[in-house]
Amino acid sequence: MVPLAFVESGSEVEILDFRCGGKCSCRLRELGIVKGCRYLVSTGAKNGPFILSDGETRIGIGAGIAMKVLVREVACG
Amino acid sequence: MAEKSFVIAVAGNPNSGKTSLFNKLTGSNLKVGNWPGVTVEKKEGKVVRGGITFTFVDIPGTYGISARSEDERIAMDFLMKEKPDAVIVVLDSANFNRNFYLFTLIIEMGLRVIPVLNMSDMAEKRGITLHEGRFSSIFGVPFVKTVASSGKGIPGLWKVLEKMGDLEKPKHLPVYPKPVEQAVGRLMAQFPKLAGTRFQALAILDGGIVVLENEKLRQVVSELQGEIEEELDRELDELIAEKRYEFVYSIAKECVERRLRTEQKVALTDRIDRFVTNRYLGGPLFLFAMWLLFYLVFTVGNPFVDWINTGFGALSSMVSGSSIFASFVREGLISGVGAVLVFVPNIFILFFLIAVMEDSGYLSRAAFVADRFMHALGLHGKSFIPMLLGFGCNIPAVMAVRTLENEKDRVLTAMAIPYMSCSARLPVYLLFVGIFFTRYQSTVVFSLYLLGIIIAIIVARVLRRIFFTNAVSPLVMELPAYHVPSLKTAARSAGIRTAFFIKKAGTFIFGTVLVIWVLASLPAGVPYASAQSIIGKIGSAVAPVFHPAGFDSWQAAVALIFGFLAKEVVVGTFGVLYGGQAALSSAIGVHFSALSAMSFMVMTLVYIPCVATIAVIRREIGTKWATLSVCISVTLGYGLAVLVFQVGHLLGLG
Ligand SMILES: Nc1nc2c(ncn2[C@@H]2O[C@H](COP(=O)(O)OP(=O)(O)O)[C@@H](O)[C@H]2O)c(=O)[nH]1
Ligand SMILES: [Mg+2]
Repeated sequence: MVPLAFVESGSEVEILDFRCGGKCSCRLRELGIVKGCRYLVSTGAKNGPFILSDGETRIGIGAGIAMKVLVREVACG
Repeated sequence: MAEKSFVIAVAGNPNSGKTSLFNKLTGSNLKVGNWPGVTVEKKEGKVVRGGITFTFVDIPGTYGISARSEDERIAMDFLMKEKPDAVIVVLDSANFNRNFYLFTLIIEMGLRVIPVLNMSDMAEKRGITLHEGRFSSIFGVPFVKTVASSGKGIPGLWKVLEKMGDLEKPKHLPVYPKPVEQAVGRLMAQFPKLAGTRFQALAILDGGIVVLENEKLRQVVSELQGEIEEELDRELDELIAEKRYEFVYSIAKECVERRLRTEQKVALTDRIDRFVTNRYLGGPLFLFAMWLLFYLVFTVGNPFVDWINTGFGALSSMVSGSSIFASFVREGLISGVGAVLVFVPNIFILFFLIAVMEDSGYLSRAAFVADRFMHALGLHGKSFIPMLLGFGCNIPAVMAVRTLENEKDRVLTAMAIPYMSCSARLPVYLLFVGIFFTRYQSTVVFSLYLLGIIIAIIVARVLRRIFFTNAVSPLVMELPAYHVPSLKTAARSAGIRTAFFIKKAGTFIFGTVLVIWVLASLPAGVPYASAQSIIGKIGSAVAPVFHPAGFDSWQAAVALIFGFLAKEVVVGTFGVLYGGQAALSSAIGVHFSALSAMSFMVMTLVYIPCVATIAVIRREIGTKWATLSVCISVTLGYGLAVLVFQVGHLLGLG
């Protein structure tokens, strides 16, 4: 379990938990970032914002929240 | 009445194709107004078909209940409170889960829905097929597959619309654990007004909607919450969201077919993203884009500005005679209102280019790039868009703060915007640098812009320190795919916003000019705009105040006083008071020195943007902040002008 903020571009992650307030996690859920969901980190730690992608969908996450979204890296395959 | 009429909302996630669909349905029968009390555009279109009158309403894109921006709140409020006869829920087929989550919320609101599986072409490209027949049989309402951009599927949608009368409410809804269902039932029965739908009851239970006005309801809710959380040992909001997503997944499993796909375009998007959001390249690239924006605003706009100027000049020379009315038309109406209208091309181009950037997908990335330095300023990444607009005109800029998601960001941004040097201040700089700083024109003007930005930053930081202690609000947002922007759409949106500007500014300036002209003409018999006129008396009374800042002619005082109303008027007032454009340069050369010119420009930059901006600030964030904004800017403006003059004087520059 690591904060999204430490994940590098190109990894695939599974969302495990949010450590931010109710409103913020509600927002994340409505945007489709749900526990158990898998996303490709299309731009990650070496860049500024974190961009999670699933097909054509891209969700940008500012550095602040990226620290609070806990993920597990899934072996790419 | 034989004729039936229905109000139909077009709702969905942002970028799901609502506006495209709306346009296809309504053609050009479009009415653009405002949502009551706010300035978000409300687009309505009336169409009569098969003896039925349809009123379509394009509501702002939303993701759901967490909505904190004004736009999203409007969308949810419209659905919950206005209760349209049906909602066309535009779903992005290529992005099923999230879009369907919103769909779930809407059907829980107890509304009749006409679901549209839009972007079906994109979905196919990605190897996703949505079987509309299966959806229809699960929910008992027809689902329509469309490609809103090309119009495919629209006839099918019309068929459904024409049979609106028979439309049932969806029969399949998420089911929650028993204690939750019981609580929902109880709330709905006991508080039909506040919790009359499943959606509202659930939202009240999970804390998504906070009802303050009803003490009884609050008590019942907290009791129920306690009971449920104890019984199920789960956080309620999480549980409810989880059940909804399970519902979405179960539908997806039955109706959505995914084949393996090749992802070429995806890789391209990511390559662009890695480039434009790159830690080192992102910033410079962003600055370049901004520079280009302003470059285009002025180079493309200025020829038009010249035409308009010439046009107004010609118009004004057509009005001859010395009657009171002729002088009013000439000095007041044409030169005053003309002074604002000349900026219309620049403003249109600014709005147009921003719309293009928005449509291309770059603007939302830019928000992330900007987030890094906006953060340092204590502002939100998205704040840069309103701040940017501020260079064009503070009025639409303050209006744009509504796109920010929380109160704190809206307030701080609106408080910072007045220091962004708007295009109305530029003529003042140009007048003075042309006379006193011929060799350093652009440097002086640039440094004024810079000073404005620095003040904006300081004001925002200080206010944040004083009034807001909580952490910087998070930036999470969807990034639309890059695509070639539609110039037509951009022109349309720029047109609407420009028209709004003309209306607002036009009426205001008109009033101002009328007042100046009347005050400069009274009392009867005095020479127009002389020291004996009312305006001259007012100016003379105020002028000593500005002595420490180095300019104490009554004309300067008058110009500043009317600059309150609109800064376009400052130059115009000088023009009127110093006896016309021709005499202006020499008169200013006499009344000002290089140093006092500088302090005057600083004063012009900083003190009150204009009454219209203040009015908009008041409407957006309240009277208290608007008052504070006036106090801060007047104090700062005066203080800085005095500082510039006194320090310059000490250094022997004056
Ligand atoms: N490929 C494709 N593009 C679409 C479709 N519908 C809309 N678009 C495009 O998607 C973008 C967003 O559409 P818009 O109507 O502005 O979405 P809104 O934010 O929901 O109002 C525009 O560039 C449209 O041209 C569709 O069915 N297929
Ligand atoms: Mg739209």
